[in-house]
Amino acid sequence: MISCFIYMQKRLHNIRTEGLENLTAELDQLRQLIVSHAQSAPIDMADQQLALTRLVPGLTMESWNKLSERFGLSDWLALDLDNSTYFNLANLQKIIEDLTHKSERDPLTGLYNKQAFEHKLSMELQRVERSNGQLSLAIIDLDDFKNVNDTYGHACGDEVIRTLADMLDASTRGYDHAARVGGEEFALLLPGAGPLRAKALMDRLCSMFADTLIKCSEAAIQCTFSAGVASLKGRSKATGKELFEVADKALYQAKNAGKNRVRVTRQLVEFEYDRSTMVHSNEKQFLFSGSK
Amino acid sequence: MKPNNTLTISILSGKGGVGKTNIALNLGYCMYRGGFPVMLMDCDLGLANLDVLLGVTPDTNMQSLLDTDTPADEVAFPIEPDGFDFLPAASGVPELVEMDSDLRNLLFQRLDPLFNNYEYLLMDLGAGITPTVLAFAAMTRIRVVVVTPEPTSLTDSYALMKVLSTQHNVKDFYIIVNQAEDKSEETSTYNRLATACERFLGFTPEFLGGICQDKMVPESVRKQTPLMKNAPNSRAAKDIFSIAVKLQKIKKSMLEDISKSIFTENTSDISN
Ligand SMILES: Nc1ncnc2c1ncn2[C@@H]1O[C@H](COP(=O)(O)OP(=O)(O)OP(=O)(O)O)[C@@H](O)[C@H]1O
Ligand SMILES: [Mg+2]
Repeated sequence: MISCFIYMQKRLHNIRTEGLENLTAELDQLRQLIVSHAQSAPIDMADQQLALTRLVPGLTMESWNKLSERFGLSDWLALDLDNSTYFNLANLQKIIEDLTHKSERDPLTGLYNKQAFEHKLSMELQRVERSNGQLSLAIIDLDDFKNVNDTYGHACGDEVIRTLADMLDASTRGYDHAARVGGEEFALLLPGAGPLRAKALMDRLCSMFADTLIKCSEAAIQCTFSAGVASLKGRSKATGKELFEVADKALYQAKNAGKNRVRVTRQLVEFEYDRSTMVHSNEKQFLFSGSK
Repeated sequence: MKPNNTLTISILSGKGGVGKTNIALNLGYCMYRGGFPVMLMDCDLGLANLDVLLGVTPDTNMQSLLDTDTPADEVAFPIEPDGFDFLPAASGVPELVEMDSDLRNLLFQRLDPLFNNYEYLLMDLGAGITPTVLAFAAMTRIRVVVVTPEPTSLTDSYALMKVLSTQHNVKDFYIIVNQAEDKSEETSTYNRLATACERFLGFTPEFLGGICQDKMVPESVRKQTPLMKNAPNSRAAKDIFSIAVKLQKIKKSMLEDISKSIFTENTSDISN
């Protein structure tokens, strides 16, 4: 089975990296799908061919050629899309992007919605298992949010939510995922971050948010949040649901300890580690001495 | 369908440098001289060195099977005419060491048609307990664990068997004690390991044989010639010969098992 991917170029400047961040993960997944599909496909399909296309706005043929040479991507076929000829195609891609964006986003904050976040989480979990890397999940809940709504009204409540959302969005790296997963509950997925790094980031956000005065009509509102962090490392079989549960417990502890703080669970996903294979000291002792 | 007649054997050890590669090569040579076609597969993926011991420099290796459409039989490199072939691996490719199950399946799918031509498939595995080592070891019909009398070698091979038995439910192992000073050290090394397995893991690995410490081994390595060819009358060579004879007996007794398929059913439940 021969597959080729066609990259298309639309504009000369302003590469929109939004679609590109996830490209590696996407390609990784695609590769796996194709490999496992190829295994189950009958042999006489071997001369079937398919081209998969993807538009990459803002990439020039010139810079693609450089990339291609540098990273050995010569088996990818690039087509130069001039706007007039391929206008419809480019337009279609734009509509698809907009629709995807809409279905994935929370309308108030522009962050991922719960469903999209769960999808990201499951993809990142697969990636962690594959790469033996680390992953942290933070669940963030506004403290005494009901008071804000009761005192200042829902419009101001929304303003508080938007302010926190913007802060989450602005202070995280491009490959972190921020989502609004409930009314006043947010989640942050930090690929590559272990418990220490996740804690440092969350502590910073926590005090930054507590120090922020949120202006709404005549009032200046001060609000805080509590957060629970769960981390996992390597070949864990933990599911997204389990990770959520662990982070939720940590959040509960943060609330109990007086709010406006971050708790990282000690119960890493070590609980998923297979301890049965560990060699204990009595076994070693026995091997060294031969004594019973 | 033609019944399978290939016995798959993995050569493993917890600790590195205990003699796996030498043993795989020389056992293979013995069987070949006994008239049995042998495929020697370098499964020390990423840090392969069977080619060095053989003094050969193949152009292709298993990596080519994954990257290109190179047919499997082009990757097999003849060491001796008519029946002693070598399947080289790539050196310095970390991705291979961390091979995932998709890639592994793809590799064996490509190699499968080739394997039927041999009576023995010897897999020289890397040291340690990487997922790739565990998965390969769990696949083969026979697992030979190489230990030396050193305490670190004992604990490392014990750990390896413990992981394989608890994680992959593999509980049958053969032990070769390499580089012992004399027979009594050989026996006490095996006994120590076997009783620990019996006591803590609930199974007893079988003694396959001992290979004494012999300076002809490093000398043959330097000459890049198998010991069995370079010094067939050396003490170590005779030890290896006895082991090859024993394996041939084991193969006969396993014919019925093997005939169904080349590898064990363990291939399917390999987890990363
Ligand atoms: N019976 C023996 N007598 C003397 N020296 C030996 C014997 N067996 C192996 N050696 C020496 O031990 C060294 C390591 O052997 P070898 O490369 O076969 O080990 P290995 O287990 O394959 O190592 P690795 O884990 O690095 O792949 C070699 O230099 C070899 O000459
Ligand atoms: Mg070796």
